[in-house]
Amino acid sequence: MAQIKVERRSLRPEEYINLRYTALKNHIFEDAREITPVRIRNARQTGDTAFAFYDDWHELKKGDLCYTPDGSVFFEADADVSGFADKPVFLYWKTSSEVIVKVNGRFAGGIDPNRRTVRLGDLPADGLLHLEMYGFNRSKPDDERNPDTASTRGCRQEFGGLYLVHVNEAVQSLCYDLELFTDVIGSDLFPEDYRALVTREVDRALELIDFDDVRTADVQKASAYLEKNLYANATYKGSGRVALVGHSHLDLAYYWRRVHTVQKNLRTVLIQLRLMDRYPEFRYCHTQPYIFETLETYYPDVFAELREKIAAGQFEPVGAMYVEPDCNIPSAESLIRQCLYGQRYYRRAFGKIVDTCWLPDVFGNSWILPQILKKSGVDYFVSNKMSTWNDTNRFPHNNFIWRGIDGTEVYACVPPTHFISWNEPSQVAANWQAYQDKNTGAETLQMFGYGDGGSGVTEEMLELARRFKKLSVMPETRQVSASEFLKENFTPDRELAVWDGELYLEMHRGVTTTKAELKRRNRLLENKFRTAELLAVLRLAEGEPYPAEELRRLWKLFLIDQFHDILPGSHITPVYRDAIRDLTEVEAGLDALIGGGETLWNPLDTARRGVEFLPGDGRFTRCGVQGRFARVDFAPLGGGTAEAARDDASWFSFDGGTVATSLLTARLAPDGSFTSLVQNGREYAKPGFNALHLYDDRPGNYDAWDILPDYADRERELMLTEPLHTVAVDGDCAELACVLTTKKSRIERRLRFFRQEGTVEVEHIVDWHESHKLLKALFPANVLAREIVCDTSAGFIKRPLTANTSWEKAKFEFCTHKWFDLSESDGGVAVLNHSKYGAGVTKGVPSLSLLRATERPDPQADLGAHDFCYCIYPHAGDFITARVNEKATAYNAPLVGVGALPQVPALLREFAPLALQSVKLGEDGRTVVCRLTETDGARGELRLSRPVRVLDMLEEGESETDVLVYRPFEILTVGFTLD
Amino acid sequence: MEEYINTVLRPLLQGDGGELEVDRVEGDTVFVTLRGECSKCDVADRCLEWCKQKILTDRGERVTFVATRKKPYFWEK
Repeated sequence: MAQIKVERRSLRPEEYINLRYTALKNHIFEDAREITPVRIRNARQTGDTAFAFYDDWHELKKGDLCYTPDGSVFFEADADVSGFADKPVFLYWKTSSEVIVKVNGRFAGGIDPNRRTVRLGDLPADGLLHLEMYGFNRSKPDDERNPDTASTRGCRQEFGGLYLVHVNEAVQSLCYDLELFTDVIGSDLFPEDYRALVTREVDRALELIDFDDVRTADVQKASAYLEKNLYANATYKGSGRVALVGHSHLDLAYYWRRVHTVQKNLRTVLIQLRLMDRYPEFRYCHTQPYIFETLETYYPDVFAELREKIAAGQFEPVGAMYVEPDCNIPSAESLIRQCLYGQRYYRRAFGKIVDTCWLPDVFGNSWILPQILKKSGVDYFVSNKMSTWNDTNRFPHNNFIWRGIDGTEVYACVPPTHFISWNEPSQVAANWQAYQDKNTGAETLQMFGYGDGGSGVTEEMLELARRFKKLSVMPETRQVSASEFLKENFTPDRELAVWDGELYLEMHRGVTTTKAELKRRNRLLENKFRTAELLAVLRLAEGEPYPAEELRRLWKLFLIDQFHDILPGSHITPVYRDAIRDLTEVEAGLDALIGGGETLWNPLDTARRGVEFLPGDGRFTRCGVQGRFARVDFAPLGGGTAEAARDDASWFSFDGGTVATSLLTARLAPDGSFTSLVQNGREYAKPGFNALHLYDDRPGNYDAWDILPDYADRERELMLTEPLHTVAVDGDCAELACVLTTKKSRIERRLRFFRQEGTVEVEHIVDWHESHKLLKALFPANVLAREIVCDTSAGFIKRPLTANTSWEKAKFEFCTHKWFDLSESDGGVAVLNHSKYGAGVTKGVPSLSLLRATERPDPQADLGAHDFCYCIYPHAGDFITARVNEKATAYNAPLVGVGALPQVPALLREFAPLALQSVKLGEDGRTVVCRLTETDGARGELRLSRPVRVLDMLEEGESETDVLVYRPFEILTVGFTLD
Repeated sequence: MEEYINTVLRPLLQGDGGELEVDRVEGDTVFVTLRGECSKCDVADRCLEWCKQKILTDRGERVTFVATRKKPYFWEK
């Protein structure tokens, strides 16, 4: 039987209301007076406040094109408001660019796609205005929330004219009412009969206006009608309590470079300050000390105003971290420095630290965070992604307690809805409906304000908030500071649920792999920072000055590039270039501080007894550096010389299929994979172990971010063009190589076996020109394991290899740091790496993610040369007894060449079994600060030869002890003064 | 010309999330592929016109662009 769907094709009542609402908007601005001439200069931003100009001042007329690709524009004009200032005067420009407006030399406000006017405030007696405007071409193309400015998007925009206008406040007020009611009408979150009532009454109100001749008096009648017939109607009751906190998410770099963020931030702050003047109830929170710092540096007048608003309680700095970093990839020490430098800035600038960690957009959060936050003065953690972006499971809590890897607890707020909202009634109602902790009695948090590129709260949002109180169907709302909300709702008497584990985001699983070079440099530099600071302290003990300022400068630059759209790789081409430039500068700075020399020094506080790569003469080239492999036997923080080179290659044999050394026997396939790996009579591999696999990787619009669960169903062929063959052998190392290719790419694999060590190093030299591909190495081990153990940089986390539940299935790709391991109780295999962070479970098999080839946001992402190593470590015992973490740490911290072995204070060798994560001179310039990490999940105590000060991660604390008691996975900070 | 476009114009378009790849140059005609955000831009013609003017200003050469758009698969409709 044919089905006929009944469909209304004629104008619906709600559509007719919308038509009239749109028509009414055209009457908000009146008495328009065009400002002419407008002069313009085109430029391109080259630094935080530096510009390269294309041309000189010239006139811009209505209808002319303005802006250029990646362009900035300066405008200036003069206007006379004499005879026009009987009512408030506004500057009007419809544009999709982002504009900062100065009037008579003072910053007045901002225009952007979310607002067309700047209120001109106090006008000079002579009525003469000199306008200066800076505009940045808004280039975030996926922000299509504002259809009003869609027609003006793009690199080249048609100038529609600059005007002085008055605002018809009656029309504007009614438009706010209509914004409110049309949203209610369109949302099925409100009762159907109530929406019918609103539709009828709004229609009746609009009937009071003749749209062919809109008169203010009629508009006022319509408003009065709505007041009487809708606002005064309390028949329909809403439920719930929603706290409204103004906020603007500001990516430091994304579809724009970091230099642009300096002005994006200025514009955003300016807009909020001006709104605070007019809306005393408005509360707004702003994150990232780095951008406060740029405001203070470049725009001190605006910063002074901001300070006043902080003192008045309207403007609230939140977020202890220097920037909003990725929270999976940075090491524990990096995250600690984010807090250290962030909190120190807040204390200097505003006289206090903050107790919040504010990371609404971060792509999942490591289990190590709670203790880092707590020991950095942070009690409250706020992050939105898990509730709104998970693709498989609904995260079960919004207001809860997050227990970290070491048992430390912080209060955690994961608001139920997106951190960018425009404060519509339906968004507030949706938040309450989605809120999962209603029975704790607490409120739910709703952030409102435009974001990603700043912009923030609009006047409309604040007007809607005022009207919520008159709309009985709404949840109870209030505007509060973040601090008020958190302190009032996270209290010991509430029975908050506990989440004990990482805050894994079931989306954006590709960001641990995308843009491999950024990841490689991140790991490399984290280790170089450790070495540079340690050596600087040791040299300080020998009387040399400590380069505190330079280290702080390098750290801050490095921390900026850990921002959550930089390090994860989700940005455009120029952002990548900027990051590489920054990281090159950081590396050069650290290398200069570390220095060089012929004597080998072990920077780790664990003994070094194994094979090391030594640059210099030798038969091998590893990651582009010539050298040899040799065994060393160095004490903790000690050094000396390596064993001499040998030529005797008799320890090694390879017959084209089987490798035999005194420590292992391996059967190898021509592609470098293992069919067998036997050590001490035990088989560690299954066929296909260490095989490369290439998959079609097409996650859709979130190209750089996501890997989809079914990627392994679409495998693509890797052709073997050179089978495995011997390249070089000496008395310590043997190197085999093979080459795999696709139509566009070449992958050379080099496998290294060692005379005195049972590990196998695998190097990949890749010329990568793929599109939408994912390259992985798979490790089907002869190990009965249901869990894969992953390094977090400060302890380990076990993740399921099984897929019994939807939660387990969803964790098919995850972050690991220096290693992962598969163990039975008496043996297993670890894979150590020096530049990778993405790992996964590919059809039940553990895998290391090596390269991706994504196209959005950067069509050039990952194309070109790559060179990276990992190391296969078959071991007896489990991963703890095999000292996997220690071995991986050494794999990432090469021996350092020094002129002479440094004198090491005895205390630095007394902290074992805790890892000496960092040694630095304290920010007070006097205390040597040591960071000690328990990585094995054990508790115990250390008896030291001298007392140390017990510090928090902000390097504060007065108590002294010579007995350090530690618990599993604890990170301790202690301080002492040099003799 | 190709080097000029790659070093001067292309970084500008990349600054807006776009991409312009030179396929070939035949006389005064430059064949390019627009990728990234440029592949779906409503005003790409205006942008290429600006590029022509910039080439004229910087190099004194008049060129014509023949552009092909190459959208990533997820933007194809």
